[in-house]
Amino acid sequence: MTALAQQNPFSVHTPEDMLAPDVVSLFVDVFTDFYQIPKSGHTFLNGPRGSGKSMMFRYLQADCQCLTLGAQLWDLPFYSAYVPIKNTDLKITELARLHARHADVILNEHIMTTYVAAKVIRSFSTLDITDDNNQFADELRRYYRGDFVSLLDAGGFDTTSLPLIPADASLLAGFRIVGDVLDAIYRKVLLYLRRLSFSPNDLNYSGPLLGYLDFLVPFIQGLKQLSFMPRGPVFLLFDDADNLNDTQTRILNGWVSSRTSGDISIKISTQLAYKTFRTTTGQTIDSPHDFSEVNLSTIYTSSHDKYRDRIAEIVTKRLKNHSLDVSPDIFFPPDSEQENEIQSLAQTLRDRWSQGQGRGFRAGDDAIRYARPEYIRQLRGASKSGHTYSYAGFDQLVHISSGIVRYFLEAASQMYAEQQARMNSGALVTVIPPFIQNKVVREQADRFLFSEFENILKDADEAQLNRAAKLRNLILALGGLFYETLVSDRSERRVFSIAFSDTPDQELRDVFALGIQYGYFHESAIGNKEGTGRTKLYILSRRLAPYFTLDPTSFAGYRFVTSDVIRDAIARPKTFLSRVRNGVINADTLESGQLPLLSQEEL
Amino acid sequence: MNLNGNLDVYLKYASENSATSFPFQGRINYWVRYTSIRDHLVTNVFSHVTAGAIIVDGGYLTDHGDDHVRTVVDRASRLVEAESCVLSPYEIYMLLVAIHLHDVGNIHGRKGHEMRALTMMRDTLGTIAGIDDVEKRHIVNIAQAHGGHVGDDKDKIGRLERDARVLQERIRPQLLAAILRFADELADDRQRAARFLLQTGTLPKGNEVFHKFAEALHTVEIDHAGRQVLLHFDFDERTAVQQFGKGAEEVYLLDEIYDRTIKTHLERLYCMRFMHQAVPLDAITVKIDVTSSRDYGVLKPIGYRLEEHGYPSTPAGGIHDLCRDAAIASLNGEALRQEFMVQANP
Amino acid sequence: MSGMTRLPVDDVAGALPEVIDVFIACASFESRCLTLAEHIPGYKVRQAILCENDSLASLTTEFSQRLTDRFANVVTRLVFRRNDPLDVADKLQGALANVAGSGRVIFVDITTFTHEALLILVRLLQLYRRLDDRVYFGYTVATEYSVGAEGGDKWLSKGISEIRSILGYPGENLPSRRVHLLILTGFETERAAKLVDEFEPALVSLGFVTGADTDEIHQLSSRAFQQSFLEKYSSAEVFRFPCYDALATKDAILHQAHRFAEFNLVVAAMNTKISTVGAALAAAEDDRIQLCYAFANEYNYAGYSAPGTSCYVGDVTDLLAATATPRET
Repeated sequence: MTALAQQNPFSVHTPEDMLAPDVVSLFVDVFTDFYQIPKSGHTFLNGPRGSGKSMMFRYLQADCQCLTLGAQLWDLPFYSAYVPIKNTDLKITELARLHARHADVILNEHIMTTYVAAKVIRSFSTLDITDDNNQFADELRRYYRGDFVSLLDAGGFDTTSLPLIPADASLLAGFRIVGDVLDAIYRKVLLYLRRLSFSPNDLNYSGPLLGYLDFLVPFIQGLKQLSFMPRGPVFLLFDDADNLNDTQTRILNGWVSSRTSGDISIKISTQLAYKTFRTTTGQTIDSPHDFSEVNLSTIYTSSHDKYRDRIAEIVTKRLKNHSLDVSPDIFFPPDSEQENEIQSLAQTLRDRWSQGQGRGFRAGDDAIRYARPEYIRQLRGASKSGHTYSYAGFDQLVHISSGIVRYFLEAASQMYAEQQARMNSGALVTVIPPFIQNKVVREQADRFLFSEFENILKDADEAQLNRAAKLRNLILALGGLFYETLVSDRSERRVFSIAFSDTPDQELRDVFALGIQYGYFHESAIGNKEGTGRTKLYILSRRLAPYFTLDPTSFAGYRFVTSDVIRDAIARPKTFLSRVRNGVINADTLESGQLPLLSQEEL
Repeated sequence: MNLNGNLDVYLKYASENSATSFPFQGRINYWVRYTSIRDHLVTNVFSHVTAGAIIVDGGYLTDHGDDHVRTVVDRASRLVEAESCVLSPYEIYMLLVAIHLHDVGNIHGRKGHEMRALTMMRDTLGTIAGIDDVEKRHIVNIAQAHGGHVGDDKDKIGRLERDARVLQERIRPQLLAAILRFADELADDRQRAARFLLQTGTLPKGNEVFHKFAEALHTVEIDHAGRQVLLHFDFDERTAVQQFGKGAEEVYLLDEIYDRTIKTHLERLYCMRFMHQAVPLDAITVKIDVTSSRDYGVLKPIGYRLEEHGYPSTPAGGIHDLCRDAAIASLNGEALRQEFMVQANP
Repeated sequence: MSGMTRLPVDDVAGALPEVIDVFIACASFESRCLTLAEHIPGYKVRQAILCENDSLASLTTEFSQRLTDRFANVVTRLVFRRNDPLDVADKLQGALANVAGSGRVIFVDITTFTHEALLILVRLLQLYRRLDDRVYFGYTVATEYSVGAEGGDKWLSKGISEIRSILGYPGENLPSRRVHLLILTGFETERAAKLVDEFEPALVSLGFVTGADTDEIHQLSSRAFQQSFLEKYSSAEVFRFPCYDALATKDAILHQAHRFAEFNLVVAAMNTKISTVGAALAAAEDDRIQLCYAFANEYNYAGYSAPGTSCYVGDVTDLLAATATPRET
């Protein structure tokens, strides 16, 4: 197999590990969709894992920007330092010993400040800065001996033991020494935490204490004065800030509220599980005056065309890098037999409309609304095998990925690998057969759902269910409900969402919040039934469409439900679905919550 | 709270009778620690503070040494006597040490003096002030918040924690900082003035009015029942007609009193944000007696009250003056209309 | 250096000293929590510390009661608060401190402790063992996991609700370094894969079981998982560890960790409790290693495991002592 043929054009890589040329070659400019991100000002960037946040952050870093703009470092409009928050980096369990006992805020802020400062310094180590005559190195050395030492001194660090930056040290070596100093400060506080593990009353802390305003801000302002630095703001890119503990989150919010965005703009990515928007003093930070907010999944699910265009660009680019000049529609063809059938059904519907037997305003409306659902219904009726509906075709694959780029790429990568395995060694894959596309998205739907939950549908006492189990039941119940709606005779069959006609309690909201966090739902808003305001809309992820045999090409339809109905569905999903199938639960009962008593059979 | 004296008297009492109110359950005597700190500063630092400032800045500040510290302690004690104010013994310890530290940075000059408390705490006091750096950092933060600014922002108290735990004891840094700051504001009285130099005319010209002001302020009274601070000034008619050096200018003492009492009013407004629940004070009442230099009779009484009154008025610039957000400054109805018109018709 | 040897459960009493000053066990939804306790004559035990998790109370009541009844007059019950490692540590530390005397014989049935609680207990025993105390560990082997399910349908847990570092093993994750994640993999292949996705480490090392006495059930799942995992993470490093030998597991982890310099070391132990002890020993010997654990959304309470007829028992005092002092910094 040739080296090229061996590579998979849809491989998913961790952006942090990618080299700048690879990032630049793969990146599709999405900043027209998210214009706030590369601008001065604090921004929250929210979206599930895989929606492209880390890739955007990677692209904003200086090495990628220099390559993209063909510019030197000092000519860039901003300087970005990547600050990844890995799960157990900052959220060390020992810190819980401090909570409500000693120095919770001061020490957490010291840890965060040192961590961020070290990451800023580390960001320089990946840059290729030409330093003629060691001019920049000299500037760094002067800064180190002057302002940097003063800041450390003011923070209580014993600067008499600081290592020197040798006169002939390169810029890179100089940064390494600064980084080592910050590591040493960080190490010292880790030693303190280690002592706390099993000696909770030994709280005395002796060591430096650095904070955002008294250290990090002037530290970064000082770095900005060095002549190789861009003149614009420094962006601190906090990736996965959900991994901060509650105190650290409040501290970061305090940094956002401190209005230093002229020098420092804080960009924070979350996976929709950010702990709080309060600061340590209890105040809240709010959009738009404290920060701007970008919700990736909302933007891409509310504007399908935009997302489809982005995916098409990504696929085209990746295929081109792989020496394949073919459009995504050709590379991912639909099941032609199925599509022909659906087109035929669509024509029948148009004809019926012309004869006065239609439902929609136009003939085309009926064709769009009912052709595919009708096809799925026929499959069930004829062969009891609704599962033979094919999800192949670029359009359907884009819909199924639900606005999250990684979902598309992971599926495409697996499809490519499977097709490659079937071909002769050395042959290039030029098309993914529909059956492989269909197989992979069905497997992925199964895995998506049952990697988090056990595959059981059983009724239970609600009190015995933990939140994850409730979520599982909710998904299974709603998925089943949406399928029955799809194959029903209702005027709107392509339903993917529910809205509450009453006010759900906290527990129900928490179950949906968990679902959003895991990517099974996302949230939007519609006008309420009374027409007096707005209410939340919970939209099931179309990644699950293959599991429930739903039509992924439209998710505009929704149903109003009451909390009682949903609580019942969560506790007794099996019974709920049975009642949906036999019509006991219908549009009226869903919206009124007036469920009939369980029959003897059901009991 | 009833102190039965000043804050330091209460601290001594608490350390003897309520030792478990301090960290380490009384194993460390915080009264002894406080007196050690105080003795060290008095012996080695305070006598040099004013002199040091003169050397660095070249002017002559009012007294910032031990006498001033004792005045601030006294003012803080009076503030804390409000019925609704209950400080823990540990908070009192922190407040007292912060008071002792707040001006010691003047030894290196007035500019940025409030930021040198950390250096003093670390380098001069060292282990006299204990071994836990978090405890010391809170004290330094409280001391530093009495003046100065961070960038363009003078709101240093707002940056402190409202509630914190130190060595398992609860403290309220914002409240303590506000008490210190306002007590310091009220500590500029007759004792502070360099009277001898004033009388002999050997005071640097540019500092004259500061000392005249301090000399004129004879009583500062905190009236908790009336929720007000009373400032009593007196000066004779010869002083009234004279102008005194203020930097490069010359001003009348009455005008200086007006300026300074406005500042006191602003400080009250600011500090009340953080201490109104514990120490509610709604007004500054000023009484000025212009007296006869011959028989000390009052020739002209002047009085006024600085408080918020009536219904708050809209600032001249409307919403754009009130809120901090830069985007609001340029956004009004017409601008919004223009924005949507452009979007609709690109 | 002493360790644990495999023997029939019926012989466990003979492998232990005549008198056990402290017997520590954890009540569980698994019946394995009873096996060793029911093979030790009650009269041998002076004091029993029985642990349980309050969040599982409804599932552990029956077995908890049986354990309590067996050591009726000498039982101290410790109920750990849900999701609170500080509570686990403080209660264990307090209970150990309350047992008077030195030269105590401490026997811990490690089988059904949670991984987190076990790791905390190991650290406590290292730090606060008294002079001349002897510590024995016991572990009941399972004949089957995910009882009743076949092959690919076997499951022990699903999803990840939280990942956290283990109290006592904070490691030394410096900001200038990237993460080297080492996983002692087991049945829970999806959880291991999610862990890798969560950390996005610069380097991942997957540990797979090996060893002559490794039960076939471990070997089979390991092979299947290894294949599918390496297809997805082709750059992952692989190392081997014997899941019933704590000392060898410790050595395997340290060897793999030290192969690559300049990384932050994070180890997740997701195999047997014996290998988890090995992870604890490794992190105690090299305190740069952080131990972490991924908590699941759901557990297969009804059919988690079936107890076997053999167990591992041994004096681990020297093992704990040898690794108690971390490296010189």
